[in-house]
Amino acid sequence: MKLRVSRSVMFVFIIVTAIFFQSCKDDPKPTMQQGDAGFFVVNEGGFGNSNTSISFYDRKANAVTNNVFTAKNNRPLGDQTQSMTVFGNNGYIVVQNSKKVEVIDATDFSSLATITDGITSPRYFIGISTTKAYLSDWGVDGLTGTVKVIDLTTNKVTKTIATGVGSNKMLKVGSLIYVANAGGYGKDNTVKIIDTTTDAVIGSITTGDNPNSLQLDKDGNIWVVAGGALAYNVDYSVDEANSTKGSISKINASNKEALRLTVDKVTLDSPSNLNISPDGKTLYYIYNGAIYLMLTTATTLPTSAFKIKNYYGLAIDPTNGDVIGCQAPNFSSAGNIDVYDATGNLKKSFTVGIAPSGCAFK
Amino acid sequence: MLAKQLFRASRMWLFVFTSLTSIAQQAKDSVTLLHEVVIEQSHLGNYAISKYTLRVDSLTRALASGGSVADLLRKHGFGHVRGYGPGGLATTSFRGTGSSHTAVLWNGINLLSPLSGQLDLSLVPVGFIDDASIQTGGAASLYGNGSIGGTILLNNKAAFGEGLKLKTFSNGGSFGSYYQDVGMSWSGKKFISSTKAFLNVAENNFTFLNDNVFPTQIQQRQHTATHQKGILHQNYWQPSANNLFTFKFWWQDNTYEVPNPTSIVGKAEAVERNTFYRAVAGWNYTHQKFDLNYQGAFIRHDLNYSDPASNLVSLSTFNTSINNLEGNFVVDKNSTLTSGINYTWEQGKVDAFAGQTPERNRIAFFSAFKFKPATRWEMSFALREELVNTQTTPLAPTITTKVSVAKGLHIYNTLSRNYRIATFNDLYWKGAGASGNAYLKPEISIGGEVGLQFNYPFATTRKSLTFKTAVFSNDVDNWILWSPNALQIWSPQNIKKVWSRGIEAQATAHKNIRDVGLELSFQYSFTQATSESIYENANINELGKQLMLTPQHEGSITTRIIWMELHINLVNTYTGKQFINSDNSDFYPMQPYIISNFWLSKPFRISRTIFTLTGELNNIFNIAYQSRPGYPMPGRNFKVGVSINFN
Repeated sequence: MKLRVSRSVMFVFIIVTAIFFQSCKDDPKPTMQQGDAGFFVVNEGGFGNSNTSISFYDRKANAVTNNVFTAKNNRPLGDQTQSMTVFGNNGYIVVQNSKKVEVIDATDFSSLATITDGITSPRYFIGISTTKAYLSDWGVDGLTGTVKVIDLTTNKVTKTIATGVGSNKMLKVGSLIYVANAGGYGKDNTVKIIDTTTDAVIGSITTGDNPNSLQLDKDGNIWVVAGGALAYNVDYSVDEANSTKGSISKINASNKEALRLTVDKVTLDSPSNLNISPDGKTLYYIYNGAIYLMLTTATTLPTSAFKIKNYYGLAIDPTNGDVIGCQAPNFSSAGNIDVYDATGNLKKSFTVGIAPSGCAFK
Repeated sequence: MLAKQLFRASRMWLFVFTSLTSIAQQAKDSVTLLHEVVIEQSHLGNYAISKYTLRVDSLTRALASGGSVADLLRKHGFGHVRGYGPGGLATTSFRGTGSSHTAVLWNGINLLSPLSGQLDLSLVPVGFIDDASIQTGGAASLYGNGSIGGTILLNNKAAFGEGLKLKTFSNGGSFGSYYQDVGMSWSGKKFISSTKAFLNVAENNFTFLNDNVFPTQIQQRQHTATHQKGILHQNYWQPSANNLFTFKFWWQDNTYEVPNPTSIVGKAEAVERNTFYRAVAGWNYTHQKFDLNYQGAFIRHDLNYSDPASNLVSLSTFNTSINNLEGNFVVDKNSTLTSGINYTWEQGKVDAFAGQTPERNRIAFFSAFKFKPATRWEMSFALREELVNTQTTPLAPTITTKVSVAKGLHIYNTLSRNYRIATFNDLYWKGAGASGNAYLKPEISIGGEVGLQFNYPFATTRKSLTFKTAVFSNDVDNWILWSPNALQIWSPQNIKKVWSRGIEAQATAHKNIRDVGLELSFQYSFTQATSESIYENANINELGKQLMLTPQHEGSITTRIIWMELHINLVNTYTGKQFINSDNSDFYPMQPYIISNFWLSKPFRISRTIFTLTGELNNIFNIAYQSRPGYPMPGRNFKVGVSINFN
């Protein structure tokens, strides 16, 4: 018995010392940047088929591992992942049709919690502090969009902020959060501003119809891509006369729309997926079957595409400015990602899961 | 070590031996039916001289009578049932084909919905069916539209001169299930009137492991209750020896709480209500070697789907009228001919048809001829051509040859071309993100099979051995596939090609040992159904891959013991691995499972009344499995019941 105890003590001692020395090693974090380790690829899966998945690109190994969530946790991820965000050492996977957020350890992919209460149609997650995050939600009818305030220590929703229709991507600028109201199953044309100290809406900026994504440039302007509002005929063909075209707006530091550039046609593949280069000087977005590139100094829309290919999702690698196109051939078989350098040369392609739609950098 | 293994083996043999011998007592095979006068409406089935057929015998039907045809097929391992859990939409897939590729005929009337091209078998109570069989392989020449993978034939039967009969059956069991039916029939020499009504309710609130949350939890299935009630009324009138008039009316009202798949957190609120009326009037005229059959049917089906959570109310209705006239000629003692015409009118009213109310007129001409070129040789030819709003559909011929090689041994081959026309949903659906395609062509399949049937000719009726097997190949082209186009709008196109091939086998051995009847049957199918589609934007990784939700291997072993009218039935069904991703890239394919179900029944007589006690124990080993991803099936469950027959 005595021997046993001393062995256990020894074991604990070794572990504790190891952890101690581990943490005393030179902390590489100050020089680490989000994306250095690699990135996750969000694969939506087929709606209703419970086959959404997460892939991980390991930068050092230059290889993609698919189904990292399921492989680690031995359970399905759920139905239709909308997005993933890495915050701190955790990954927050927003599974829209499953009405939940799965919290994982971003290093070993193991489950930490599932956030479910009070969530109806979650879209995007953004971390605010070690104890607080926001989650945009379309609402059960797709018309009553909100932002949920989540306590990261309990993983519970503590407050719901009404924001607009189809609350979608969010952007953090200082202590403010900008929420693009993408219209959901209806229509909206505002970006709402929330003060994260009070969790209250303090302002609203009017943009083109259905703003879906937004980015901050190096000069402190916020760029907003709006898809436009589509109207349909009785037979659900697009009613062009009553639809509005997509647009790109520049919001200046005083929260005023300083510029609005409208695309040339009404199309179902309307402008979306606004991304920005690491230096904050170049915008990328998807429109009408192509990836477009536009400098933040531009005053007109680009006339030629960066890459004419029908991508379902788009991301820019913050470490090197690579352009990652997510291709979904259909919703029942594996898609792939194409990685281009900033000049448009294809560097590599990887097979990922079903319907890849975006990336989360670690 | 060797000794230990031998000991184990001998112990197992001892167990098998004692199980068999201990029940060898007095014998009487009560599987035999009371002899019935079969009243058939169409003779076309007679030309399927060698189709691979799974017969649902009267005992199997009796044991499953508190459930739906979907339950019956699932529990007995007849074909592959695709469903959304207990009570949910259930369809079959035979020989690797799709859910709309099985024609379902009720007394010769095609029940497939013109909206979806399917019949939900969870809405067909076994208690309303007197005779059921499944023919695998397409036979559109005989059964018409949709018979590409197989055909389910559901029939009613009656006999004259049986007097007054009263019958009730009640059963209840796990998960709030309760079934009650009441039937009354009067059968005179020339007239029969029979009415049967049923009520079937179930909560289906079984528990399952929800692994869609962390930590995983044992939860109860919620919002998945079913409530079904219906009436089947039949009249048969034979005013003279050569005239028979029939009338059947079937009404049913079904309410189903549509549960969320387990991948969705929280309770669902959607409710689906199916109400239908089906009426068939028939006239059968016989004159010497000539027989004339007419059937006129009208079907109305309303499907009301509402989801309070999203303020959605969606109403779909279809009306169908079917007129079928056929003449049957006995040409000589070795040959018969049937020819006829079918006129079907269909109308669909669906909220999502953008204000349109599509209708179509379908006229089909068919003919079938059967003859014996030599004593041991039988052949049949059948042909059908259908016009849909005057547009032709692929000509559907079938040619079958059957040769008797030796006593009890037949070999045969069949070659057929079959078709399925686009449904109203395929053609006219207009919804956000989805749009039908008015220019769809019919799907075409070319199928062939070579088979063998063997009945071991024992001199005594106390034992029997039957075996049949078929090797098949079926090419389906112009398969209608809904897929998103470049703009993410879902639309159907004739782009999918599938080649399915495989083997089916069934063997049954029956032996009476003193007064114990023992029957062992075995069933197996191997299906390789692969995508052969090459089209624009096709994913090359899907080429040659097994279709989703299509197991390669399926089988069942049934043991049946009958002793002193006590029936014991044990069925073990096996369903092989199923992919969910169409390129088979699944990390989590649906794993194979074996489900064991047990039934017993025993009648007792008190003067003219027979009381039969029944019991069933399903999923004996409490296996956790899903009918499709996110739709768990119940664990171990039971039902007990009693039927009362008064003659």
